[in-house]
Amino acid sequence: MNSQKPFKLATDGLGLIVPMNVEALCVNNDEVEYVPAPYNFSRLPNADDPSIPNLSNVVMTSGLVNMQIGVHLHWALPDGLTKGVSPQSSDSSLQFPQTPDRWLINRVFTDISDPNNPVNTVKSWVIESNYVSVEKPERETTTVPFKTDDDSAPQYRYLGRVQEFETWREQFLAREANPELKAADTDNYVPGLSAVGYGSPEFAASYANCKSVFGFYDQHKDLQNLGVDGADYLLSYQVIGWYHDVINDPVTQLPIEMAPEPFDRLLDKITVPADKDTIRKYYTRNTTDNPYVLRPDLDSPTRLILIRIFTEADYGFLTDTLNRNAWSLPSGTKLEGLQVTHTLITGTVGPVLWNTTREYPQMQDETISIAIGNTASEALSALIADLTGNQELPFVESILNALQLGLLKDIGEPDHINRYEQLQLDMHASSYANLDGGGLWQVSLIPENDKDQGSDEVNLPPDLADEINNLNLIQSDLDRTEAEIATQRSEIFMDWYRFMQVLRRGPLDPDHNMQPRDMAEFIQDEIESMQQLIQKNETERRPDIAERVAWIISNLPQEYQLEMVQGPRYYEPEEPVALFQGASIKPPQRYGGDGRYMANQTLLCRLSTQVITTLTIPGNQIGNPAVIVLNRDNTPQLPGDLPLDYGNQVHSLFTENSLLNPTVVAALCINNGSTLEYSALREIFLTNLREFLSPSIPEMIPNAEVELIGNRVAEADFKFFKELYIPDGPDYVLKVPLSSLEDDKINRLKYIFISASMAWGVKLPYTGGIAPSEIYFVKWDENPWLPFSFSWEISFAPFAAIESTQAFSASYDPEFIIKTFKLGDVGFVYKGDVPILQETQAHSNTSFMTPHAEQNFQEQIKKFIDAQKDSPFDKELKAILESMKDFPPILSQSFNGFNSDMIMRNEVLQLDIKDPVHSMFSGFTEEVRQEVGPMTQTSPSMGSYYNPIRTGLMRIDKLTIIDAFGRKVTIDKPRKIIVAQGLITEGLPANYVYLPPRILQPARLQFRWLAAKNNAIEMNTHPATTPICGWLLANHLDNSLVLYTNAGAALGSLTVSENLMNVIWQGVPGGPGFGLNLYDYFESGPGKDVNASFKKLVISLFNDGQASYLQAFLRANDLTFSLVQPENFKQLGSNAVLMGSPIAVAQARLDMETAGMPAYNQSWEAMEREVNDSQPKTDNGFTKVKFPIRLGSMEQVNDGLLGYFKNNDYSHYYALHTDQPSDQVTIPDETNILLSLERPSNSELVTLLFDPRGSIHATSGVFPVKEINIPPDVFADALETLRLTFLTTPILTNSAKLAFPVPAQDGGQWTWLENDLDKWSEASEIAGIDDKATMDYTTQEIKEGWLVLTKGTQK
Amino acid sequence: MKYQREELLKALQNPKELKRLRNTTHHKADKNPGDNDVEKALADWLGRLKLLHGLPFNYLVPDTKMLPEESLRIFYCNTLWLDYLQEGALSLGRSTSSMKVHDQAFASDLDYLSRWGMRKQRSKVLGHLVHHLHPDELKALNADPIPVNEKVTGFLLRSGVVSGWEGLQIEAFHDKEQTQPATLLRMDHLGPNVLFCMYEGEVKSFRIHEYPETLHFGVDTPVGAGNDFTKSFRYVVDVDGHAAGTQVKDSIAPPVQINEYERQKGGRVVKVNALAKAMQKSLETSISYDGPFTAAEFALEMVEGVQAVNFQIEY
Repeated sequence: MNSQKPFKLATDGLGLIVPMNVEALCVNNDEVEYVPAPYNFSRLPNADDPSIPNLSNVVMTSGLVNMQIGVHLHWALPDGLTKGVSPQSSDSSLQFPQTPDRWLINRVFTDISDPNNPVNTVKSWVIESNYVSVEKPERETTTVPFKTDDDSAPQYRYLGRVQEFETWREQFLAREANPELKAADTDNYVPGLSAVGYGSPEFAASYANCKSVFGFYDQHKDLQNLGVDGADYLLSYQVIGWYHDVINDPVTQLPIEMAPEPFDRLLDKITVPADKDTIRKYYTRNTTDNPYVLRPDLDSPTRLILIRIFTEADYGFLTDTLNRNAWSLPSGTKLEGLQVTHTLITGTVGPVLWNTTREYPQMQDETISIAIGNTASEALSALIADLTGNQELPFVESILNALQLGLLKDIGEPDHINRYEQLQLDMHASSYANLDGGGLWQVSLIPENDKDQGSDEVNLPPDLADEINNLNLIQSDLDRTEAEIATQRSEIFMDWYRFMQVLRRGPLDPDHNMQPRDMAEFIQDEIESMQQLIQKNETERRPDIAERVAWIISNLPQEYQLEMVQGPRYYEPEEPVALFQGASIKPPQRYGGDGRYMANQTLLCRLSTQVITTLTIPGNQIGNPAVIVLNRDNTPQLPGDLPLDYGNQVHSLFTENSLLNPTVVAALCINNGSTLEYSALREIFLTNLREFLSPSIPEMIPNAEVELIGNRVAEADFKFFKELYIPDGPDYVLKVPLSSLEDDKINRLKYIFISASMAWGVKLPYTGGIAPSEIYFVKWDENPWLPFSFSWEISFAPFAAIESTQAFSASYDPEFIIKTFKLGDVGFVYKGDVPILQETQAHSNTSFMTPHAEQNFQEQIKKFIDAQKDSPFDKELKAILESMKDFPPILSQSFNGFNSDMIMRNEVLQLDIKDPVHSMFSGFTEEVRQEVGPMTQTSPSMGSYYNPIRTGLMRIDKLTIIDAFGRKVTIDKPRKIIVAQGLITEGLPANYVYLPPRILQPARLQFRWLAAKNNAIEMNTHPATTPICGWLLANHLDNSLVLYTNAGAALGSLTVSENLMNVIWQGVPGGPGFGLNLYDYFESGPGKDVNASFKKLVISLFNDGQASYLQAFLRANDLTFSLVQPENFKQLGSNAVLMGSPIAVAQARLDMETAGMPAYNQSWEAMEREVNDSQPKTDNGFTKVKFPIRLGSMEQVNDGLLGYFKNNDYSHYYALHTDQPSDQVTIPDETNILLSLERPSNSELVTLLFDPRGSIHATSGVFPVKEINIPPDVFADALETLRLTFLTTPILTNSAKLAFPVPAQDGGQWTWLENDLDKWSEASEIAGIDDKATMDYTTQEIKEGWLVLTKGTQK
Repeated sequence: MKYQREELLKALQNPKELKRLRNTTHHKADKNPGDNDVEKALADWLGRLKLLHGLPFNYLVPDTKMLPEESLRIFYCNTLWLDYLQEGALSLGRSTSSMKVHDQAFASDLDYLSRWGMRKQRSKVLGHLVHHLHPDELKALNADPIPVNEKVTGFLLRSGVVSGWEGLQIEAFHDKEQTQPATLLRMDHLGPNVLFCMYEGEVKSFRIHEYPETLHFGVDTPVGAGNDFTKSFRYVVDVDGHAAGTQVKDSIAPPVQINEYERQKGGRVVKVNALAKAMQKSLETSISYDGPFTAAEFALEMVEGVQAVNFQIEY
């Protein structure tokens, strides 16, 4: 601490005014049913409740409740305060910003029962959001779990308190005056409050959750006191929030991390050395490149010290606040030197028409259309296609999907005939989410050096390749076991969850035969085996990795670096998405939509000095003989001054709201002499206000006003303005027609006009400040509809049913998939028509609606039509556009929890692992808590059905959309459901959804190249680990095959003899092995060191000289090659043209695996067997189910695969296509490669023959199609150095000097090779020659020999 | 929108099917390759190839004895071999049978392109001079190629004339009467003394002559022994049906002995005034010409016409 006097933030200074949305619901019927808050924590057991397990299902609510009569308010916190952040450079969890914890609610009741003397009456309340109490407060509030050391005390509290303003003020002042009282009261408040409350994302978003916290109930009895029963009450509400403790205020938030440069700049500005040390103490970094990170969990005094130091160093707290929250200030606001001291968050709603006899309409479901798809875009395409009527335009849905995936512009190109296939592939892939698949080490050039030297120049030490690979093997073991440990933690939690139920024998507990002691032992065994895994990782694998990494780094040439990249990812199927469309559905923009009025998507805030203070009404404007000036003195007053340093500013906000509020100001005008009728006046002020908040864009602006704008707004904005307005005589005129201005430009112009106080249409001027954002005003028309959560009930008829009651007796038929489905282009297709299954399972869940930003489709299509004038889809797109006129709004929501439910897991809020009831198991529970850690996302759902492979028919029984106030629309047995292409199959009955097979837990298909040198290792970026075993060059026109090593050295050729009976082997002309027979050549001759697999391949193809195999092999490749059109064929040099198409031979391994352990059956029965009979955990055999894998794709012209051999057996070639199958060459049938998720894995080794310029697809149906290729720099060298030999007979040439034309080759050299019976002539150079008449060539002679092309340097 | 694999494979093995598929799904081959850069380049390349550009001279003339000095060799191109030449060039990039099928399917298109290219070579060589062509020749150049194979004939000339006569001109005709001019496809100096010409169709006769617009005075070289240069007379005006400019028979007006008017014996420089006077006198006596004899009349007498040699070919 330094010696200065204790720092206190300057107050009454400057406030940041942030607008927010406030909505009001009128309830005059207490029989209507509403959805309650999802959890009731008052049911939490304490030490005195031995029959209630401390589990989440205890606090979950069900059923419906009534709402009290009156007006209910709910406000939506600004987006900036609802988003969690975490420092990028560390893995600490999300930190949510603090929300205001004090709210002033001002209600103005405008009584117009005497039209000549309307009266505005003010009543105010204060809400303390972070007030907690054990006693149930008078007004309904919410319950929250409460951590206390006293297990016999209630484990929950009521949160939030509402007091009338006067009461609150009195108590506040009393506390302030009496420090003892104040200190005693501290315990009644929780120190911080965030939008997620006790950890639930819907906490602040649903009124039922946060009554009296972020919501307010204006009671019936209070309203009745106003005394105009029978008529509409005109009510206006204003909510103003602030932070009781300035340490929580957004404008005092310290940056959670700082980049090195700004950090150093900040240090430079600090003059006191001790302060520098303090900063260095609390901001630390791991390595020199990383940002400085603020130590988490600092206490308030420490924070205050840091804030003081930052403030003294002129840290830009305001700029920081604006950037962090995407807030902005009016253009031209000078930020330099501003010290904002507090934030005020405010919103209004009005005029709320409260009337006990009024009919408030309920939401209706009749007009809602429902579309279901794998993804929101698919569902949207289906919905639009349905509207356009797709008989005439069969491709509408595909086109829209392509448009959304950004593929449409390519799809009609003749050169991209694979685009349609690409679309299918991408659509299939988009129905999966991908998850971290662990790390992969690789060496790469350090980027700075990349430019100076070619990447192929440097040779890495060869033993590095193996080392990198060993490192990767250990890393993948580590990653795999880490995933296993994570799933085990979750299993332990779910087992403990069931243990608790048995232990407490609560009302949810069914009959069972397990003893708690046995269960605890069982769980302890699990913990032990998990500990062994952890132990091995911590004591062996991690140190081993660290050591190897260090070794590799020390042995790497200095221009290289070792880095870890993302390994192959795991895939998890997405849940289906439902799309609702109807005129009555408005996607709520109160969350996530704060930026909708601004071109830069920010929320326009103001400073407390920018608040409107005065409304001046010139004479004779509204039936007023004299000028009326309204300001703080003659508008409604708060019931008392707010005992805060900035209480004055709060009052100004209240005054501003009176001035801007048509309901209030109309009454004031009559009081001040206007002779117009109240309703007419209100209409005038409404128009006036609208123009003020959203000024219209004038076609013409006088020069003087432009000058004013220039003086008031920021330079960049004025520059933008002058790009649109150009000087024309005494005016500036708009350069383009108003109708063609994009929304963004209009928004920015409005922002400029508002900031410059240029509201041309405002007849009755508001002065003293700047217009607030439109967000601030909610014009109440009727009870709002604010969709917020979604619950669904479906029937599911699985194609293979595993009932929870048959835990051990039933298991999947391993052949289930291959018997039921065939592999289509990308996914599984049911064989034949799908049956209508009688036995169905019921599934249901409720989930929080995440507002989906619907892209503006019309815009997108219009843009596309404009950009692609000759698109073949013009007709379709125009039809789509036409049908989308007056397109009703859309809401989309995925069936969250569907997948978890199908593997008997419940995605609900989980309580901390704790047992308040003391027993012999208390220590055990504590152990479980420590072992499980954060892995408590799901609880077991013992009564659910077990479908680890999700496939079957789904029917929607009931969908319910719930709004923020708990109202709901239920769609019972929807009459018509539009189903997207991806969820339809042959013979599917209407309104059913076909769910093709999906593995419900994250899993992946591994398809990895193996290094040619040693196929126990995988290819990595080290050049020595090329996967290519050798090259084949087929001449399909004369039935021959030339063989090369993987470095490109020629070995020889196999040729089918002219009588098609024999295979002729010939060593490379001019080579040492010429004349040796095949076996000698490869056993002891020059071919003895050739890659073993390649050698086997060649010997097998020779087939003891029988031509049938080679002939069928060549024939099949010839056909298949016809369809290979790799996209990057142009990248390679001109040699490729001469050689035709070299075929690469390489090996790869295929494997399927789950992330962590299989998702086991969670039924009671399963656990009984595990605990009582020591049976292993069961997955009902789903990991034994075989999935077919198809390699290569004839549809994808970019796929280069010609065929493959399995398991190093080269006597049978699986060709992708052949028209003459033989014993040894066949097209593989669908079940040729079968993989399952079983451990240890049953991986498959394949030797692939392919065009290296293309990629290879592995289609599994249950994963996105996996595509692998070989990077060109791995094979380009070898390809370039292939020594090409062309038999050339006869040739006419000058007998003295060899001269004849040869093709021009870049960097290549042609030579001539002859065999003079017993010896090879030296390959001699060939002179160039052309058509010029030189007469020196006689005599000529005819020669026979080989033309040899050598390119680059031979290795 | 979607290509069926089976359909595609079937097509790739059957030229007719391939052509049908391509014509239904793809753009058709352009009638005029000039509209398509790729086809234009291909046509150009094939055209040059078929005109034997780049073909080694020793393949054309296997032995230099077959084309001795001061010789003319007339040839007839075997169109089959020209096709082989094209086939050889195109076969380089073929590696699968479907590529062969593809080439078969579009062989006629390629033929069309190569013949189109052959013709265009000429106008390319001529450059802007093409505008000065005789309308008939221009028409022939721009006409569409004949859809069937056609003959190409030509000759190789190895002679001092090739280098000696600057602007040597050759006209070829499809008939001996020299009324139907043949379209020249290629005319190249393969060497200082070697001229190579190729024509469309069968050439029956051709005429080699000097550049026609060469205007010069000339005298007749001495025939036989003696070193005397002479100059025969022309009619200056119409006389008894002899048009002005036509030759006066030596028997009527004996040629003037040029050597007599040399300034210096053997110096080959003529005293023009004296020569003119002598000529005037001679004409006065022989054909009774009594008009003026100015520089114009002198020029008429002295201007020399171009030389031409005619060949007729019997195949």
